[in-house]
Amino acid sequence: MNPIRNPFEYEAANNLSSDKIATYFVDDYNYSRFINSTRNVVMVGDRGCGKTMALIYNSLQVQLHLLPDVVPDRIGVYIPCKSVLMQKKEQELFDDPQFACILSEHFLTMSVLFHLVNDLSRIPNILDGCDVVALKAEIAFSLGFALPFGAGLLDSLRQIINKESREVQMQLNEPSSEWKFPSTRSFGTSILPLFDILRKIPKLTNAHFMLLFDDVHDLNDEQLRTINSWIAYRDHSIFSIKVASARIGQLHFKTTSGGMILEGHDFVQIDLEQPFHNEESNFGKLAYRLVSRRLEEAGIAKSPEDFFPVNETFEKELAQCRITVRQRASTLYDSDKSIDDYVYRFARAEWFRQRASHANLPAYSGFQTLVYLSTGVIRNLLEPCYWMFDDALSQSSNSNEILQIDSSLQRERIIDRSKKMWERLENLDRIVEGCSREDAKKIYSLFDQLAILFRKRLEKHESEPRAISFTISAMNSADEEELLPLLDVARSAQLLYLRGGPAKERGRREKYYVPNRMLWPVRGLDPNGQHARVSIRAEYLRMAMIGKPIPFEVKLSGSTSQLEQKELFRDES
Amino acid sequence: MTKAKTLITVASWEDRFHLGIRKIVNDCSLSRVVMFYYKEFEERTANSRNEVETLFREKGVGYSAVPIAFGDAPGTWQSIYESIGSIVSSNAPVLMDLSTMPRETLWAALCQLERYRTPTSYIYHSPADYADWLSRDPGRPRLVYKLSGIATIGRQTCLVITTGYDPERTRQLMWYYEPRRILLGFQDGRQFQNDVKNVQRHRDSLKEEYREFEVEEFELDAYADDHGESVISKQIEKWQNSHNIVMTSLGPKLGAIALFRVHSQHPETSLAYAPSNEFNPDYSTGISQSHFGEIQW
Repeated sequence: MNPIRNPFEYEAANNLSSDKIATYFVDDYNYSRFINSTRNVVMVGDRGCGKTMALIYNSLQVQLHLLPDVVPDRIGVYIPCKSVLMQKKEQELFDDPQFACILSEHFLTMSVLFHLVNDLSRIPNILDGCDVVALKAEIAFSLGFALPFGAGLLDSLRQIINKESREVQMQLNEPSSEWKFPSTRSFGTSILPLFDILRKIPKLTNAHFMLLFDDVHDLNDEQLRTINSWIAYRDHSIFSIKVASARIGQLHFKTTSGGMILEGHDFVQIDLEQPFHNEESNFGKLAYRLVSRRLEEAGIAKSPEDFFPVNETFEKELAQCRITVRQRASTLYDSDKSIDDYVYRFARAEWFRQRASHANLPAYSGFQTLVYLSTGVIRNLLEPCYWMFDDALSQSSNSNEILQIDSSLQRERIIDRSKKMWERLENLDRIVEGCSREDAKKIYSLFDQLAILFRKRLEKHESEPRAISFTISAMNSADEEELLPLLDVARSAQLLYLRGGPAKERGRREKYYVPNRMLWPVRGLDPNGQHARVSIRAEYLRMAMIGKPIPFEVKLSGSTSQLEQKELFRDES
Repeated sequence: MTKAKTLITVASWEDRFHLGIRKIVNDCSLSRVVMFYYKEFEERTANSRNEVETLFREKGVGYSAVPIAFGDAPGTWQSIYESIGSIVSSNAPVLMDLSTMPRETLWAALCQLERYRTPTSYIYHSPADYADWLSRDPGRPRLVYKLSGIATIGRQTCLVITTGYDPERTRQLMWYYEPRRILLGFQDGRQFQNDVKNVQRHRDSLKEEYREFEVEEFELDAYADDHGESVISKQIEKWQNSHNIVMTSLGPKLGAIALFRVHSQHPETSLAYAPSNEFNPDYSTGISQSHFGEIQW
């Protein structure tokens, strides 16, 4: 019997077949259509937010899979930067930093050349109607490639590119420190001339080459400068550059000449991590579409809500809480809008407040809860779904008939993953680069105190009980020095996300932090947060790092009215 | 007994460093010692360095103490390159004490000794026991200078790890390289409760990674005569024509010799080093068995 395929597979996109990428990728609600343009694009987002998938979807490989008989005008060439060639460091041994730059550009250039030629060879009969002998002669002359005899044009190019690349690597691997500097290639000497020549092929006459660089955060400084310099080219009729990087903090925009490229002027920036994730938000819609498509593909005729049902008792109790809270609101307010707002803020909190202090952890379940728990990251959404389906498979007597994931099974898996996340949090010094034991203890303590604060708010706060994001206020340079590196460590471990949104002062935007919501179930919190951010003074966060409670005020500070609050965050809903 | 005359070692605060040196000095006729020490642990190793330097002076053995740094990989490589250059000019055979030598230093030194085909033997002193945790605060993994292989563009990566006790370090390497395929080598046998601490702990802890990557396990014996070289060779031969192979050692130190030999036979493979920024001050205690070997160039 064939093993049942789990519809929520979340293998790294570069390990997925074109077929699967074409099927699974959802290009709505995430700006990824920007990629298929002639603009330069910088995409940022943490691991698992779909950067690689978006790049590969726009690559020639997948586009030819979608429309086999059409050579697209915009040819996407996928170039992985997480490769052994890019990781080589022998250039660091040169005294002259200029040599390191030249070698770094060389490795990048060879990589681009190879992937360009390799991807073009996927186009059926690409050389139809062109004078191959003349083309070969021009390539040999313009690029100085000694093309091997016998092989076809693209095959021989692939061979010579790898041969040259190997020769330079062998030279650099010589154990002596007195090397002869190898001859190298650059964008100007090799890639641009090759673009020009390739456009003489009838099928590529109008081609615009999109160079899709993935994981550029793994490149060294010189390589990043090199790509930025390529982005700085003014003429983008023939090529454009798209880069994907894990986090904006890991990027810089300096060029090899010491200049800068500018957002808006030289490139468009897309943030693939999205701030809010309820059913109305872009991420909510994307999540719905993505899970629907995967269920459909697996032959499961259910909506995401039906496949991941909410626990019935919880649903009934929550409905009762809504009625109770609405009745209370109607004694406080006249307008329907104010009453609705009150219900939105307090109905779920009411349910949590009514629970006995010694009650078991809540019955976390339902598709919307899974979306909230993902904290806006696709991989965080697919992971629990995958394991839940796997659990259901293990329990099922007839594995072909998994038509829903029982809510108790969902709860079990969510709580298990939540526990694991705290275990990870406890051991950051063993996981995250540059995190000492002392740092790890402080970060653990900070999250512990945040959980305590959020719990108190859920139980007692009179305005924003379900706020589970925070901003930092009154931060001086000493606070910055102590806090920010530790928050960065938490971000590296994907326990914390940094988002941007409107500030209370109209017209301003501010950065705020969202702890990974998967942390909260095991602490009995509601992962379905509300549109609000807790402002915490930097000094309190520093104290929290050594185990001191974060002061809690029952009432919302400041004079912002409830109505204004709602409006302030409207752009995020 | 080894006939080596020049000893290369790396200073440590562990018992087995100074106890091991004492043993070597008593058993071998040494004409010279090159003792590298890491600047990051300069204070922690001060007492044991003083102790062995006193011993060298008492025994009339010439020595040089050479500072190197985890944080300065190019400078460290240059220091090793120059030190080995001065050793080989004397034509003396070399004895390497691997006991407390980080793998990157070990590989950089072997790379130079291989270049000159210097007769090289090595000694490794096992400790009597290890602490519960050995290292923390992982640094960024890096390919070792000159041993970074010859990558073929367009191929996916196959990561070979000879595992140690800490699955978190294995996990870090897996996610850093995100290879298509991973070959996990587990030490055969039950020494230091290896079967419980290493194999099972990895399987339990890395369930997610076993699902994510194509993971294959194999067993090797780093304490065998070839330190597992033939087993590792066999493993990589399956994938070397289709993948770029990156190899690293987190397990028994002698396995690092095997990886170096495999790299020598297959220069297209890469050796990678996964540094740590914090080591347990009580990393190990005592000294037990000593393992000798010779390297045939």
